[in-house]
Amino acid sequence: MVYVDGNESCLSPRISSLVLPMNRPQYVSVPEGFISALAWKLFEWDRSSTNGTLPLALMYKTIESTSSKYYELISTAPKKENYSLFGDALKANGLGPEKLSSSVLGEAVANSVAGIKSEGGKGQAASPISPGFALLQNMRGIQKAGNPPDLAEILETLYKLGLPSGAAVSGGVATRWKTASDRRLQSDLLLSAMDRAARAELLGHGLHINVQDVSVVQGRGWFRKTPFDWFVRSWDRLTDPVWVDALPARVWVDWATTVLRLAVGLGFLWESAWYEYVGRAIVGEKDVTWQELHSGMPDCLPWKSSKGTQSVRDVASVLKWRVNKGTGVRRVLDAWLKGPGNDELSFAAGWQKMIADRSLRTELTEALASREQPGTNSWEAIKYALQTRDSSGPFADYFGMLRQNGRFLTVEPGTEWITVVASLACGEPGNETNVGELMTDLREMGLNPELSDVVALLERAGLARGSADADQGVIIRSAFETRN
Amino acid sequence: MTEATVGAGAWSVLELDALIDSYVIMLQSEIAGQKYNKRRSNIQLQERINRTHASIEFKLCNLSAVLQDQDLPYIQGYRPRAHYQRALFDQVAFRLAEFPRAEIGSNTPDPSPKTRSHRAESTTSYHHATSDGVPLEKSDHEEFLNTVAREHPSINSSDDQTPQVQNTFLELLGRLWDRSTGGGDVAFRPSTDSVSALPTAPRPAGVEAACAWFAENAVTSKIPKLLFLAGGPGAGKSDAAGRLVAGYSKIGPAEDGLAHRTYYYQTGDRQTVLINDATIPSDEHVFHPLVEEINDLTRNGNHLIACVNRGILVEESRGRSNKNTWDYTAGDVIVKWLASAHTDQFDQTWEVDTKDSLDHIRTGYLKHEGNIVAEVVAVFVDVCSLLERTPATSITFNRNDDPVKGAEYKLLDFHDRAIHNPGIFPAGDLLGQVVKQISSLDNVEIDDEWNPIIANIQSLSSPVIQSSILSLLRAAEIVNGQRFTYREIWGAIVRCLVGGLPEVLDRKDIQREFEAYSTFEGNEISTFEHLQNLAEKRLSQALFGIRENPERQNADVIRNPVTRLTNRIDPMRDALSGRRSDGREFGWASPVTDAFAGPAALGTPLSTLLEDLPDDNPFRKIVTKFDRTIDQAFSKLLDYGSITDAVRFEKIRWYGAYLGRLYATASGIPAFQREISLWIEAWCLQPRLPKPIGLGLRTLLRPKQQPGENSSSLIPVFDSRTTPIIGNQLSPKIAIQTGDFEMTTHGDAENLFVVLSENSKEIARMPLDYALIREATSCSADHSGMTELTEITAPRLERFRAARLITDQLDNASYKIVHGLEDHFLTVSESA
Repeated sequence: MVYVDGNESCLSPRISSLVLPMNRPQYVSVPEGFISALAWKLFEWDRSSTNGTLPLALMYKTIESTSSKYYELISTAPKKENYSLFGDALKANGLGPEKLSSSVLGEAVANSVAGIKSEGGKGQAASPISPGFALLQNMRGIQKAGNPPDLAEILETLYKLGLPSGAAVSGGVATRWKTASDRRLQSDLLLSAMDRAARAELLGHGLHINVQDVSVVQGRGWFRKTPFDWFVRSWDRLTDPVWVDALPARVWVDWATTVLRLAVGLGFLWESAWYEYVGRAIVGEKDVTWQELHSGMPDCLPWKSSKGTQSVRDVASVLKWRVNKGTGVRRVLDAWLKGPGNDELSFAAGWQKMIADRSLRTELTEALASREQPGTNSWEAIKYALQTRDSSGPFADYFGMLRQNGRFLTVEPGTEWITVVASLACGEPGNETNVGELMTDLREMGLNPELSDVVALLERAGLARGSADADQGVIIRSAFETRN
Repeated sequence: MTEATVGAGAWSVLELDALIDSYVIMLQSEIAGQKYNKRRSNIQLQERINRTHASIEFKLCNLSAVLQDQDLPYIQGYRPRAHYQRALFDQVAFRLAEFPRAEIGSNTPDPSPKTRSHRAESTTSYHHATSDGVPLEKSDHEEFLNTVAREHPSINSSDDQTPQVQNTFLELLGRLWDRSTGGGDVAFRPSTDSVSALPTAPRPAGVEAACAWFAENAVTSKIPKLLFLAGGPGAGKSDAAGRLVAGYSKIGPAEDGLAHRTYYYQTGDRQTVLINDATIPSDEHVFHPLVEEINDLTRNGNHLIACVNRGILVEESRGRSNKNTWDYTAGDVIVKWLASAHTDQFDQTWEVDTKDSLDHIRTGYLKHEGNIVAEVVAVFVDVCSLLERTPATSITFNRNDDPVKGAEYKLLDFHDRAIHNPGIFPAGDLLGQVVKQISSLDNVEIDDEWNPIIANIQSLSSPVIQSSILSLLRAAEIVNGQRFTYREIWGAIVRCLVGGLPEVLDRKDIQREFEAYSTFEGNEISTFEHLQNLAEKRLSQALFGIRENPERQNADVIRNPVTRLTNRIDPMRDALSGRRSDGREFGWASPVTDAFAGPAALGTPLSTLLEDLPDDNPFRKIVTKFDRTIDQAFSKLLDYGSITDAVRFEKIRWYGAYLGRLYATASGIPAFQREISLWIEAWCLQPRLPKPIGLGLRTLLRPKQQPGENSSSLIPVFDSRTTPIIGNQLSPKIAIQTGDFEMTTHGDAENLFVVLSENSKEIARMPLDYALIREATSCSADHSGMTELTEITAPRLERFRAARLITDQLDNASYKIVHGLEDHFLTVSESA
């Protein structure tokens, strides 16, 4: 798919650019789903359902069988009675020694790749440490829906929104993930053998690489200094060979999932804040240029000082209503753009027409004041993308940034959340940056925390030592620095 | 930056929006009681819009006027200026919803000039309520005073009636308000006329020597001298610089009551340029002002004294990183040298030839094409703790020798601190001076039985207690990994003397406050509770932020710059049983618990405790009449017939903790003393690790599957958490068997790191801080422990272990399949 052709990228935004082209997201119940969605964008599977008509829903382990008239659920983990077969496949691909029980080997690998198991969850995904394991579940199996939103396409769109003006890249999020995974498989013999065995034994025949449109994608650069911008930079860095080589396989997956969670969570939050801001500007008949409109955006996620009380720091209500209002405004704008010739207007002409349109202003005023909740699905998708899942135990989530505490939802980034964000801000493993640069990244992400809170997080993660005066100059050293 | 307005003419909507953005953030901070930096906000605004510093300040005042006219709260620091632009009014009206309302501590236009003037003086949050409804503390305190006045009509609470205590003493006490947290007497500029009547603190390590070097022959020196005092606020940089130029003839700027970035003095044939506050924007140089000012004065052959913080150095250094090294100017190389201790010395015409590079002092020659142009000395004022001995240093530039002579910075064994005179520590010197000044008024007649402030002064008059207080503060530094500046030291001293009073009481009300410290007429319960409230101001409670109201205590612990650090070492967090008869014994609380164990008929807890302790125990030095008043009230309370068991137990718990804190404070015993001592030991032993830490760290990093046995350490290869496999592995799992490794330490000033190596190859390093030591010392016999810090250290440890799993380390990895208590080799070959 080509996002926009080369000539168009040089043009100014149209009025239709006000509405971002993402499909509506849905709550992703298991974090492994983000990478699995990307994997299934690149691969196809010819296998059909038992009756030949239902789409296949894949899940690594299903705790209880669920039947549906919309899909056929398949558990891809090796059954107990098939551990030997899986073990034989692993041996055939280079694992040994021969005297090792195939059954034990098969069971050990099957257990080792099992992903996060949430309390009360009805399934368990495989950790997407390689394409072969990422493909062991798909969004149908994860969402338990016949026709779930195309998460991979949403991620690709978010990425394209962040591409700088004139930037031309082949492929996008999924392609870069595949390239990074292939690099790891080339250097990690154990993982490579497991990946081959998983594809051969657990997915079997019919799996092949999808013919992807790898046309050059060009950035428009209309949404600079936004979460989309950060997403592009962070994803490009993380999928670069230096970071692939510097991180253990599972850690890389956790970091990649964190970046994707943030892209979705903050991307859609930014979108909601944008619509609300645009709506208010139209209602207020503000005569602005695209740049003026864009530069006036408030923070999309208010990160209040840790010194505040929990009630002061609570963001649940403000974000929920922002998403609902944003969704309402989006609908109104969408409808307006469907008016004759409206979507063809330049931004300047379209904006003038909008602010002069009394009926539009009335509709937007109503949308902004409405107590309806049209954005519930989006809000859940955002919330669960950003929220820390289990806070303790074997599946403790150190990668979340929001924490639910009773009725309060507060910004409390996990230790590894700041590790990922700060380390990627360093550029390459072993590089250094300073808090000033990190704050710039955070502002791009739509966050504006107190400097002392960021320094405290970095100290806690062991990435920096603060001093009373270093201020923005506190030096941050990336995690997993390569030492020779 | 917009091109629409170039620093003149009416403000555009975009500029007004940027102004409002900045204003709203500051106003929200002010209302929430959070600190914010007006100057930095102004600089950030200048980066967004092309307006001058003054223009922005003026417009912010206009904005205040708009808000005032709307009856909305405004920033007190921007006094309303009328005659504002219509567009500003419109824009504020458009964005009215974004402005915070006066729902918290309101600073809406207030008819009470007292409240307004007080708000203007202080930016601390303690005068405000929190948004969740906790009422204003100050009002509470006034209510308390009014209640006392109602119940004790004999106490004269009117300002114009005869005071019952010595004015001189109270005036002296009142001066402490200036130095308390958020007090007004915190910034110094060379034009400051009045010198504080309070004692002057010794200068941080290296500053005295550097000032002596600068002053020695500044007038006659053949080459310029460049002196940099680098570090955070509150370290005395400006004070030292101001006193250094005091004898020179000032050239400019003219005295206008404002703080300036730069001052100029005539020093013989040269000028001395004093950059007093590098955070103030320069009038001459918009970009990289420090670099440009150094370039200017180097061209002119002038001396320089510059007070800078590291943030400025990093910012200016970063801004020049794209230049070719041969284009580096004098300013570039010096700023880079200051920021990172080294400079590229290739293809440079300018360089700094480093002579000494200690943790806290750096010296060198500024050279141009190999010729010496200036002598340079940099002192990093906050590297050495003010609670450790200052290394004696002298600086003399001599072409044949290193300039710096003197002792290295060393930490004192925590146990040995008590045997030293507190005056050997800079902070101890200050504490001693303050206590001496206040307690020198021996003609003061105040009833000391009910007065916690007098009790504090009496306790602190003992050098033993002073020494103990310093030990506690040093412990707080280590636990928090943060060194105290003089601001925090002053805050702690003030807290030890007058508790948290400066945060809730205007100094003019001290007399009224003292009058309230008199015999309380009530029943046993109300009397004891009255004393509980008074005891908040007792040093052993106030130093740790102990409050009777838990909500306020929590707020204090989060927000107060001193108790935020000291509360973590509240001795009652870690009251280990034992007696400190052996100096290395960590248990201490048994005498206190024993004092509550016997029948009440044998005596009160305090008298029992005093009988139990040897004559030389420091506890005897801290106990005062005030404590005896509480003790007697406690005994009466227990004998009181109408007391319920719940109240009895609650009061026993409180008094036990009170006596425990008093006892621990007297001996300088912080919570987690063992870990604190071990950290110091590790610092002193570097690169070796003290054995208890080494064993614990090995258990944390490489725990055995079967603790106590000769067993392997196995890390699951594909788990999200690299938690080692311990005990029976129910389902088979792939793991990697880790080999043994060497552990060493590496110090960088007071920062300590543990370095993990295998076959002399460094695998990883991580900060060896208090949290990690606490976690390590919780391990026992190959078993990991669990502490309140596990959540903090676990991800760091897992990352540390995960370093074994990167591709580079997997070449000869020993893979295992672990099942039950057994493990099987897993081989990997390329054959597919």
